[in-house]
Amino acid sequence: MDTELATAKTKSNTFRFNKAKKKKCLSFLMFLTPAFLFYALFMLIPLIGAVYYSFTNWNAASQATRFVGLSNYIEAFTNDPYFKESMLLTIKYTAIVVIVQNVLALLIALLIEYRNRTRNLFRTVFFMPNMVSLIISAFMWSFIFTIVLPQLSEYGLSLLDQGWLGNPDVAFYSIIIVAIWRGTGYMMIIYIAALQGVPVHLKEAAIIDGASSFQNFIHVTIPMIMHAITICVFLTLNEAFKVFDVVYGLTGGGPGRSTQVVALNIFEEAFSGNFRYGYANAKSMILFVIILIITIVQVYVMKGKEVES
Amino acid sequence: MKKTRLSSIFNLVILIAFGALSFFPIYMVVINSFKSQDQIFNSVLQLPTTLHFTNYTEAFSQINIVQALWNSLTVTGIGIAGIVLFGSMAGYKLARTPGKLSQIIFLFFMSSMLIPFHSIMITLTRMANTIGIQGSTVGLGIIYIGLGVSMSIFLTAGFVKTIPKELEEAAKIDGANEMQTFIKVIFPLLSPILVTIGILNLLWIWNDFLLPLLMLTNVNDYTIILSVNTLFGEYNNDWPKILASLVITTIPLITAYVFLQKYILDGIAEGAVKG
Amino acid sequence: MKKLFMILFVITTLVLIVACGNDADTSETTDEGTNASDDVELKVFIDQPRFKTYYEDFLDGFTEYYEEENGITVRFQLEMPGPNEAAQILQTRLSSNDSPDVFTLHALNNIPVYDNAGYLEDLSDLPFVENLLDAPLNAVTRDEKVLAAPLETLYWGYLYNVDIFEAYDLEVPETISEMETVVETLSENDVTPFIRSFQERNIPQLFLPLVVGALAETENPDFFERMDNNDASLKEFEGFFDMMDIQNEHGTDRPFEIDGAQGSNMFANEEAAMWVQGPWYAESILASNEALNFRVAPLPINDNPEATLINASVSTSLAVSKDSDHKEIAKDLVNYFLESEASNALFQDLLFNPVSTKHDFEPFPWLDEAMEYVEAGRSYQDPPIPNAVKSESERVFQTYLAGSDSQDDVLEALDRTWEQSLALD
Repeated sequence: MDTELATAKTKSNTFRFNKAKKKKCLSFLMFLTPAFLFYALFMLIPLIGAVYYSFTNWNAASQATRFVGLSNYIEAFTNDPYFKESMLLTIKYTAIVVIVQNVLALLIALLIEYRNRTRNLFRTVFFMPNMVSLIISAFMWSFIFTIVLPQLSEYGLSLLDQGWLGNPDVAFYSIIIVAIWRGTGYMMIIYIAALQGVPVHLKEAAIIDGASSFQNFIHVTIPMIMHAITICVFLTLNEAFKVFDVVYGLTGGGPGRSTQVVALNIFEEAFSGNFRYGYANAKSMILFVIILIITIVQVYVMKGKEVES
Repeated sequence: MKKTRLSSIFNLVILIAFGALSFFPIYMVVINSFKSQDQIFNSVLQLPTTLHFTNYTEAFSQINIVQALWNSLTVTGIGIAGIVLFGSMAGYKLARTPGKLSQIIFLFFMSSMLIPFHSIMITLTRMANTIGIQGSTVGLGIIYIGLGVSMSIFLTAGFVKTIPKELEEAAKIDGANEMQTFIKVIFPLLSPILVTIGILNLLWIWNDFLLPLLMLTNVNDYTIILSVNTLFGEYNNDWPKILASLVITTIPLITAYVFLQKYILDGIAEGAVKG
Repeated sequence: MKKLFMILFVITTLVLIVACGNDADTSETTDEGTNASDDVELKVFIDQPRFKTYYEDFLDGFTEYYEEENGITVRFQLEMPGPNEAAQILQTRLSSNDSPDVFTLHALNNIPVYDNAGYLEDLSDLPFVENLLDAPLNAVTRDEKVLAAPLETLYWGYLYNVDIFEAYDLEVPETISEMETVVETLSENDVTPFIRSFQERNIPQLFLPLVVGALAETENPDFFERMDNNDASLKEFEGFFDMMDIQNEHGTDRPFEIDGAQGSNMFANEEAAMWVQGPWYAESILASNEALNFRVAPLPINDNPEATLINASVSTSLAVSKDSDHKEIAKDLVNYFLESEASNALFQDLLFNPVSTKHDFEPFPWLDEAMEYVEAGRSYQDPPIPNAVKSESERVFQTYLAGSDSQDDVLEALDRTWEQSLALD
């Protein structure tokens, strides 16, 4: 009895000794558990599941799921021409959208920077398309492409008389138009904020000294807003690689597969045709890794430039 | 001086041109939503001669707009509340606890921001079904918490570092425990970044399409975006009704935008620069 | 700010409680099953949103009827997704054990797959089976079990405008050469022979069942058997693309911007004489031009008039989920769809053909001619092409018609998908 009491006492001593640490631990848990719980349920576990299933033949038709090793990955790389084509198309799309969107956004931001009274008005107008959901934008533009532009072409603008969504060669660019229309305003806001950090005397010098203002822009302004450029390129890159809603709403990947981007290819592999969930998961893992590598390289390279300046 | 004036006018002209291009689709959709099918096919560019409000009444009767709005509000409200609350708690704690462990946990949350939704959509659907929240707006809102909390942690953690520690220490001396300190002292100080987080998530959740498509089963639970998507399939080129429903869906956010635009635009700039 | 915090906190906690509460609710109803409760909710999935109001009224009628008969109030959770999403949504529900109690499927395409996966309840004992006509009954029967209730039966090939044909003294062509003559005569008279409406992928897809069905029926009878053993190829069919090419060369402009609705509008306004399409567009054609005089005829595939046959098919049918918690009520509902008084009206409203002896209305005039072919034995049952192959054909036919893929590319892609779909079981 006595010995028991004694051990209990020593225990409580060590407990007191660790109490501060324990309390810290407890509060750490209290603050982090809720976030972690939701994160684990809806992000982590599904992700682990997706990795696991990418090695199986899980599909909608058969209820038994078998482990198939690397064969899904091998198939994606060697025997799936559509996946490869959709990947190449997505890369092309990403390249165009990232460049055009950022150049245009920066240009508009610069123009707006020079306005005083109308600055806010323009900011508001250019950002407006961002309020319209992607899928709704796609529907709006289907109307513009199928009804408005053909009628507009009758006013001597024969260039506008295209099979905007029906011609496989044109449809790709129609998607890009919508993406740029909707995305540019967002980047513009970030660039405007960054430009406000550029000292006024530098900007004034650029206005007055017209001849060298472009030089000025390249050598003074650009380095000073490099941080914002890194962010905007990161955001557009990420968004463009995962593009789905706009394509889904405008062309559904068609005609044929002419505008099938990689996210749509994965979606269709999973939810149409043979409903091969396992295989679609494998392809989505490949997409994940590619996005990971590209963004890491991009941020690394551009961060390096920031330090230089 | 003259040169400046000239370039200023040139500058204005370019901006107006771009602005017109940017606004043109929205303008077209709005004016044509008041026309009849015939008018649309024959004179799409003109202003409507007579206002066909029937387009709107019919669209209203097709989608139960009040219900759909409520559903969108429920999903977005729950999602944002959870993301803001849980994200700021975790972000604060991680920023205030130095050491390897917090760093690892922080990176762990961050890495998920690069995961494409398509990578988890199939297993996420299954998870939602397993725990019995598939097909409910509340469940959908809860899922958004899990998907959006990382970004919230990231932004709060960055912001917390700019808050001096003295304030918390003072509160501690006054005898407040940690949760109380957080609620009374920290949370108010975080409000600028919390508004930013709220806005970024509002734009995302309200406008999201694919996740609700996978999760909601009953027409009565459809968010507003999903209802319009269904209409688009149903109406089959009945443009007046489609356009009217597009306008109806877009109005809530545009209205919010007109009133809150300063917060929204600043919030976005803030969110990006902090990122 | 403290208030804001409290509000957020309360909301989140409430939500969690509500969510858990909901969860408990659903598990309760699951346990109850069909017995004691007098208020039951059935999940119904129908992939024809264009008929929404008709179906809603019909289901209301069932609720009334059932309350009177059995004292049970049936409420419905009706899901009607758009045509683009329907298949994938249903598939997601089924494979994540969230099956609707009653759902539509395509009898010939889906029954084998869904039955293998164990989704379908046996309906053989229901009264409606007794009254079914033979052709629809065959289509929904597998291994001597009736697995669905047929709603929509189809007899189709292509549609032609009788007035235009009469104006130029044209006979319905029996062979592909005769079809070429018809096309020539029409073109000479500045009449466009065909409507091309390829924007909706499933329209060019129609060529697959038409060509494969007719050719397998006449010159390659063991094709499907060999295909199942991975011992055949679509390349065996000579002239696979002939009819598709004729239509593509002599059709209306800008086909990839014209969908089914616009196509039916154009056909109704006599912008072309023929349309490779089924009579399921009759409703929208008549909506544009009530007086249009059109008929259904079998599509010639080659120069063998024996191969010019009507495709007889059963598409939209109702199935009951094996996992349903309210199986008996679900079955009663399916039975009601075919046996009740209301069934007659529903079938007429939706312009469906009669499938049961209970249906006492006249078939539609545009089908007269098609039915003559069927009665003369000049038809085949819609071939059992796997769903995945059909949806693949939607993509590759579009690509082919747009001029980007070769014929071999198309057939190889289809063969590959067919092989993959076999590998799944």
